[in-house]
Amino acid sequence: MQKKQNGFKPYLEKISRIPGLWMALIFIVILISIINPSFFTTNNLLNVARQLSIKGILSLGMLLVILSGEIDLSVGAVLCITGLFTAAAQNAGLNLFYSILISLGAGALIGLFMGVLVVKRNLPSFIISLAVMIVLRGYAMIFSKGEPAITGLYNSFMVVGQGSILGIPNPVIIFIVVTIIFHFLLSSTSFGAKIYATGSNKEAAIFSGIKTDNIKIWIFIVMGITSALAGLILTARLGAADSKMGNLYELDAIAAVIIGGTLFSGGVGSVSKILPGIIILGLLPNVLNLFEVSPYFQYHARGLIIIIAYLLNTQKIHLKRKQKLNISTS
Amino acid sequence: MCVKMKIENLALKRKLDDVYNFLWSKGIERQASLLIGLIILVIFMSSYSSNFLSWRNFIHLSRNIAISGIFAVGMTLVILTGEIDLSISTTISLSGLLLIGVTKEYGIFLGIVACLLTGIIIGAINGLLVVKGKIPSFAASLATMLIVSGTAMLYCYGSPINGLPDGFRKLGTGLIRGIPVPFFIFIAILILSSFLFKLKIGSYIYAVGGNINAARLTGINVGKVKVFVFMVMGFLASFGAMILTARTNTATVYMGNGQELEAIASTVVGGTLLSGGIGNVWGTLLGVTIFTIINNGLNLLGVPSDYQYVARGLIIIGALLTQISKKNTKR
Repeated sequence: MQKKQNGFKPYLEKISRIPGLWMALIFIVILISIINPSFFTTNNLLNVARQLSIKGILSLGMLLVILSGEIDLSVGAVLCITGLFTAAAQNAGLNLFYSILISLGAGALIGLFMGVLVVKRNLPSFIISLAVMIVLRGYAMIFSKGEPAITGLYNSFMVVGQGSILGIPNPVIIFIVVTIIFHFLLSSTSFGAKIYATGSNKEAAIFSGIKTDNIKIWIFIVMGITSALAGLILTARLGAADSKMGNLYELDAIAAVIIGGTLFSGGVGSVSKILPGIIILGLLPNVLNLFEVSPYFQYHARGLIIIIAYLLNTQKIHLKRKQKLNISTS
Repeated sequence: MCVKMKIENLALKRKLDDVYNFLWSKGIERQASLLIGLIILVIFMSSYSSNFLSWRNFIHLSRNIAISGIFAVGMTLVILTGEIDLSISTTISLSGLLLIGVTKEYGIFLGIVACLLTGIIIGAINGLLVVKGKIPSFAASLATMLIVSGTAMLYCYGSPINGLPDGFRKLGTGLIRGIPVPFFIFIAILILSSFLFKLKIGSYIYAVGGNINAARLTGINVGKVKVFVFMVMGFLASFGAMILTARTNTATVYMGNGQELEAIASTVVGGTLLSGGIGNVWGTLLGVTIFTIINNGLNLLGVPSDYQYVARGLIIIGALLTQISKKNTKR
């Protein structure tokens, strides 16, 4: 029997994060439909969905990274450089398959590089990824030699970003597929279980025989491939690659993961929890526009979201722990 | 003859060991090797470019070292406690913008107050987020950076502003006996910070960084130490912004870009461990000098800015690779 608790505490305990975030999403959708119903034209929605999918794929990869207790700030830069690579490859006449392979391979290599540095030298991942981001952004500028954008992509490639199957845009389809893969990975494979173990208590995981070093390196490689995939889709969608693509995308990815209930320390979070976060962040520019909020507030909004979401998450964990203690002592 | 050479080698080896042990006992063995590296760098640069050793270049260098150094000293304090502050770039921009903006309407005194208060308040926010909000410092400072960035953009609508009284500008552009004013200010800050480490708060900083649980059990108020350190960082960020703005007479939203990375890199190169507890400001001084000289050298050699960007990132990675993990340190 639970002890009688005062006031609003039972209500607080009933607030579970998942329905909460979905409710926030529904609230936002209702808000938009009241103030600006023209938002819901098919064209507009499809556009939003296309953009969402790209950042959503990044968020899924970022989820893996943060679950293991690390972070990756370089995803925007990886996206940019891999997009440039594939555009350059196609301009050089390389066939479609190889031009895609080059990008994915580059993403994987960058991920491998970062993973090895983080694991073997015990360096904080955010600084390494920050430095890598700088190097890649600079290299992107050098690579594109100041030209505004590299065009001349194959039509068959641009279909990936601009086409649709049965009315659903291709990027959305890819996003859905990646979501299903990642969900399966995290919930039903030993790899996924090892990720959670590494993130929640690294020493315990090591003692259980999990090679946390390898797990982390693999996660960074996956993140690199994911970023490259997002870069391919964005390039295909834009029909060109330039050196400023993906600017600040990493912040959206991180924000989506955080408001989805993932803790920076790792070990807590899941794909289904970050989905509403991805959608909300995708709608954020539109929402701010609706209220005629200055575009400069985009930065505020993301910063505040990260802080508030994180504070709420840690509060919720606190409450849960208190609740467990209550039950055990009664 | 071989025996004689062997004995001479042994004697030399013993002398080198003695020097190393002496340096290690003072805690500056890494800084000493940095100094040697710095001297080599200077020799290298001067042989490549005749402009390098000119008096004019030296003034330019010392001004840059001073300004970057002010930020780096603050960052050293933060890193020593085991935290990090990514928000100083936007703090610098906002402080600079407020300095000019408030000075234009309310005069220089209030302008300075607004500028410095901004830094202190942002520092306090960072500290509170980390201590009370239990948000990891990189995330908290990242979020603060975003919020301050938005604020800065809102304040000036994205365009640069300028216009400081000439007398005040001497702070950034003036020379005392041929040496830039900022340099003296920086030396003063260095001396002040070494005083800091002689006080209780200094050893608390090292304690918190070295082993936070042990520090807490010793009765040190860990939260207060961290908030203090963040506030000092914020103050130094706005103080440096003041000098920077005085020098260029302009404030933009992008003023502080890259400063946080240079500060972190200088601190790291200077022998401070990112995990905290080990390091000192003199190493950071060497780190700042090395970075400034490298930047200056790349400019003198005519390296395009894109390549400089890449080089900077590579140098940071290189500097990080030289970090020893705490487990390996002898102390």
